[in-house]
Amino acid sequence: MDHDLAYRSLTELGRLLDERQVSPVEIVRAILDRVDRYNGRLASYITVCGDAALAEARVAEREIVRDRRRRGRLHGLPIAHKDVSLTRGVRTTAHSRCMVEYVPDRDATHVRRLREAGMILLGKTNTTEFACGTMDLFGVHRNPWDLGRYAGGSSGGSANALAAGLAVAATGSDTGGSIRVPSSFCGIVGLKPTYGRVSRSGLVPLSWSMDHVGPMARTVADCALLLNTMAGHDPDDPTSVRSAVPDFTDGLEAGIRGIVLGVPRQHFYEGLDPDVDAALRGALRQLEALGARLEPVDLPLAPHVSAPAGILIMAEAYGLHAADMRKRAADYGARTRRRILSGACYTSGEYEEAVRVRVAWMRQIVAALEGVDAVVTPTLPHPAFPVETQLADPPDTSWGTRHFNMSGHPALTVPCGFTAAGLPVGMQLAGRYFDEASLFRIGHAYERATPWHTRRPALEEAAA
Amino acid sequence: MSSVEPGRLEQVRGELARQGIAVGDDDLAVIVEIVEAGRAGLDRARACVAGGPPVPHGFVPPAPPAGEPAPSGGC
Repeated sequence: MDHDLAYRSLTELGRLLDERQVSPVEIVRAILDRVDRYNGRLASYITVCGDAALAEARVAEREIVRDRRRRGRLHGLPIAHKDVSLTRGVRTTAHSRCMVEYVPDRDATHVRRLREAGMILLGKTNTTEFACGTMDLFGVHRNPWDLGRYAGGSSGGSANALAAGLAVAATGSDTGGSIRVPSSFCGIVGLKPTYGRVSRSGLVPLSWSMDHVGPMARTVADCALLLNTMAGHDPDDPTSVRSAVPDFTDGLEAGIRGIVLGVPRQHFYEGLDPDVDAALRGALRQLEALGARLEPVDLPLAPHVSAPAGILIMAEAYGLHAADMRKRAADYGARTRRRILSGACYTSGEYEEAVRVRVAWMRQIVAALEGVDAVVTPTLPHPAFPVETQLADPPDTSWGTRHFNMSGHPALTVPCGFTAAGLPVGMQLAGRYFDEASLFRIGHAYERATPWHTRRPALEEAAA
Repeated sequence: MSSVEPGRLEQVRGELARQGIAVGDDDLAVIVEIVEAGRAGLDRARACVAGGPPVPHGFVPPAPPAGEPAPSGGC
């Protein structure tokens, strides 16, 4: 089996399909073979659509190879969706006893759009329960760079599948960092788009004002390619915006000479793990070498955003789960139940205060972004921690990410180095509203100049 | 849990009961801990905002840039 295929980028695989050097069936088989070998240890997938994926791949093969009709740049390529995205005819559990037998009769809008573009559903990836809690039913998603460590939550199944060659493209959801945190821990690329850019219709919700859906992949260009299809207004989601969707792959090669990058004075560079600090300093030097100019920016509210964000998320989550909490609270995992019930205890006055902090923060980051093209921060202050820590008393991993759920700005994480112990480090780029294109351009320029995205975890050695 | 005021646990248990939810002691202790930490963090944020310009009420999601061309229709 050609395991190299499973590590090719979407862009490369698309070219191979166009040149008929490879078929969709070969690609799907190569990935499913790795899923068979490693899913037991990584807990990447809750549901694997093996036979159905191969059947879809055969249909795509006939269209592309026999009929020479490739419908677009994603046709014939496989994708994995986080198990909070509704998938027609395929179980969607949100990793919860409350939904364990739920088979939707519709696709989430982003799932439907990717399906209509010709992508093949490979399976549903692991998540913390309702993207915020326990992992009791299907195991804890583990980090392929060190199987004793956590992949990050909540889209950890999508992230570890990509890092381990168990997927070539995936989607995730992000309420406080759930795309960017596992992407950083696992050494892949993940984008939280602007609020309103991608429809949330058909996403199992957690927090109406903080939830986002976005692409995850091993390269920036692949994320851009996926966003092309995922983005756009959806009448089924009143928060999705009527905004033009550019081709996000245009301009990727424009370079970053003259780009101005903001480096926050407060919070984001304080208390970093020394290896994370060194990786970020190196990344900033690299960005300068590529022609970007670094400017310090003031964000005095940054240290204080996380707690109000937590109040908003849990109050909104409780609003969604209140009826089930009355009827079947015991079906929730303990951590999920406790976190969601905390949302029942805040007063409306406290919710409103948290909104006021949010608006003040939005003003602050909007003002900062008037003078710079993007802000550069570490995605997390530390690398992935042991699974036991996650199970016992996990740290606040949304330390540097909730900020952009609060404000709605787009934020991209790209790999920017490794610790001495071989764990990935991520750099976060946050940009102006609806300017994902600039983030892709900066991230792509950095990625092309650095080797981090080409490294692979030694799963074969770990297996031995 | 030493920082939790006496009676606070029962106050929260009562509030949850009023909303139709019964909780055990283990859940209650953690819930109160989360809520107290959230309130302390909100206090710090409120103090930081207090010195700044007035903030209007209400969260308004971001709007697309003015003068943007007509939507392409997504996919």
